[in-house]
Amino acid sequence: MMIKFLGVLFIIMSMGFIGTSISSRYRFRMSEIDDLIESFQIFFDEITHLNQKIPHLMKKLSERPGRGNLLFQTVHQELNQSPYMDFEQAWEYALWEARSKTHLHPEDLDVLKMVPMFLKISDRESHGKNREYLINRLKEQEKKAWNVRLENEKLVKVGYILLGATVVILLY
Amino acid sequence: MEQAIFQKQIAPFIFFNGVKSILYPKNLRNIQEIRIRIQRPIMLLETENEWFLQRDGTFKRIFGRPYIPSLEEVYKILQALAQNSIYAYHEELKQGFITIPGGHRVGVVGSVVVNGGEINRMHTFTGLNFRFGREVKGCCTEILPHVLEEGHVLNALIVSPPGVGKTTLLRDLSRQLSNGVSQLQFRGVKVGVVDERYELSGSLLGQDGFDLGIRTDIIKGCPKAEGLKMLLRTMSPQVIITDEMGSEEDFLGIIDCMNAGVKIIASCHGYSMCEVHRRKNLHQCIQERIFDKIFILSSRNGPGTLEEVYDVRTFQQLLVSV
Repeated sequence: MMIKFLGVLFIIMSMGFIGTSISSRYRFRMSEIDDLIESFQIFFDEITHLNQKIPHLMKKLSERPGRGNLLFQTVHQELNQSPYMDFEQAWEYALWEARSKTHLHPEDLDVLKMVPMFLKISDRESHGKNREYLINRLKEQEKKAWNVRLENEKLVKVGYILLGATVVILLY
Repeated sequence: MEQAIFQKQIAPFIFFNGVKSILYPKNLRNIQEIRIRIQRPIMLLETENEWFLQRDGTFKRIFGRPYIPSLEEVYKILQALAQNSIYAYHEELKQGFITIPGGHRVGVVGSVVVNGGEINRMHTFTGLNFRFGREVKGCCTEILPHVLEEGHVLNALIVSPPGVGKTTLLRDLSRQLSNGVSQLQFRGVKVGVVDERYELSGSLLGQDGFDLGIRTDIIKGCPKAEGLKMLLRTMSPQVIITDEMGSEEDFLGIIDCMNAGVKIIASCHGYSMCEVHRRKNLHQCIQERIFDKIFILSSRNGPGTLEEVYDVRTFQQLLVSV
C-alpha cells in the first residue's frame, strides 16, 4: 500500500514538475523582455549623453546579468572577432541565435530588428524619439507576455498535474 | 610611410564584395587622397597622378575595369570608420568630416537635413575623401628664418592651393616655435593653436595625433573667431596659429589678437598674390598691414615648395623661387 501511495505521489509530483518547467517559459519570456528594456534604457542613455561607441557599449551590456542580454553578448563576440563587421550584420546574427537560445517570441525579435536603423541616425533628438518608441514597443510585448502568462501558466501547471492524476487512475 | 598607413589604417575599411584584397601600387610615392564615390570608380590621388581601383584589387593609372561601389558599400565603410557609432561623430559630420586614428581626416558628402537654417544632421552618404594627415618634422626649415626677426615672431600668412602642405607646414611651425630652434638661437614661446576641424592636432577622442610642441595649447572643434578669443582670454599665448582663414569674423578675431600683442600665423587657400588681392578680406588685411609677411606655396617641386615671400611692411618681394 505504501509503495502504491509513493508511486502515485511520484507520478503526480513528476507531472507537476514537468508542468512547472514548461510553464516557466512564460515567466522567462517576461523577465527577458524586462532585461531588454533595462538594457535599452542604458543603451540610449549612453549613446545620447556619453557618446559611447558601440564596441564599448556592447561589452558593457553583455556583462549585465539576465538571459535577455544574450543578444548583446553575441554582438560583442561577433564584433570582437571581426572589428570591421557591420553592426547590422552582427545584430541580425544575434537575433537569429536568440530564436533558439532565449524564450523570446519571433514577434519580440521583430521589434528588435529595427535597432540598427536607429544607429544610422546621428542626432540626439531622434535618439530620444527612437528610445521612447522602442521601449514602448517592448513594454507592449511585455504586456502581451503577461497576458499570455496569466492565461497559460496555471493552465499548463494544473493540466500536467491532472494528466498525472489521469495516468494514476488509468494505472489503478 | 603612406603604404603602411594605407595598409593598416585605410585598406581594412575598403573591402568590398568583389574585392578580396587591395594591392598597393609599388611605385606610388606621395599619396594625397583616396576618393570613394557611389557609382564612380575609387580613386587614389598622388600629387600628379590618379590611380583607379580595379575589380581584381589592383590600382591602375588607366581607367581599366574599375570597381564601382554602391551606396550601401559607402555607408558600410563609414560605419566601419566610425566603429558602427555614427552618432558619436554627429558634430563632426555636421561639418562634413570625421577623424580616424592617426589624425587622418575623412571628408563626407551626402544629404543634409536643415532645421531652422542650421544643419541638423547628415544622411545618405554618397562620397568619402580620405585625406592623409602628415607630420614632416623639419619641413618649415626654409620658411622659419623668414618668420623670425631678431628673435621675434612675425605675423605671417601662408597661402597655397589645397593639398600642397599648408597644414603640415603649420604643424611643424607650431612645434619648432613652441620647442625653440637652437640653430636660430630662438627660445621657445607659448603657442596657442585654434584647430577648428581637428586637422592640425589630428586629435581623436581627446588624444593628439601630432606633436605640436611642448609649449602649445590647442583649442579644438571651436569656430576660429571664438577660439582666438578664448585662447587670448585664458592661455596668454605669445603666438597663435590657425588654419584656413576666410570669413570676416576670422579676420576680426585676428585683429583682436594683434591688439593684444599676440602674433598670428595663419593660412588660407590661394594660388598667387594676385588672387589674394582679389579676395576682399585678405586684400583689406594687406592694406592694413595686419600680416608682416606672406608666403606663397606650390607643389611645383613636391608639396610645400616655397614660391614667393612678400614683406607686406615694405611691399617688397623677398624671394622668388626659380
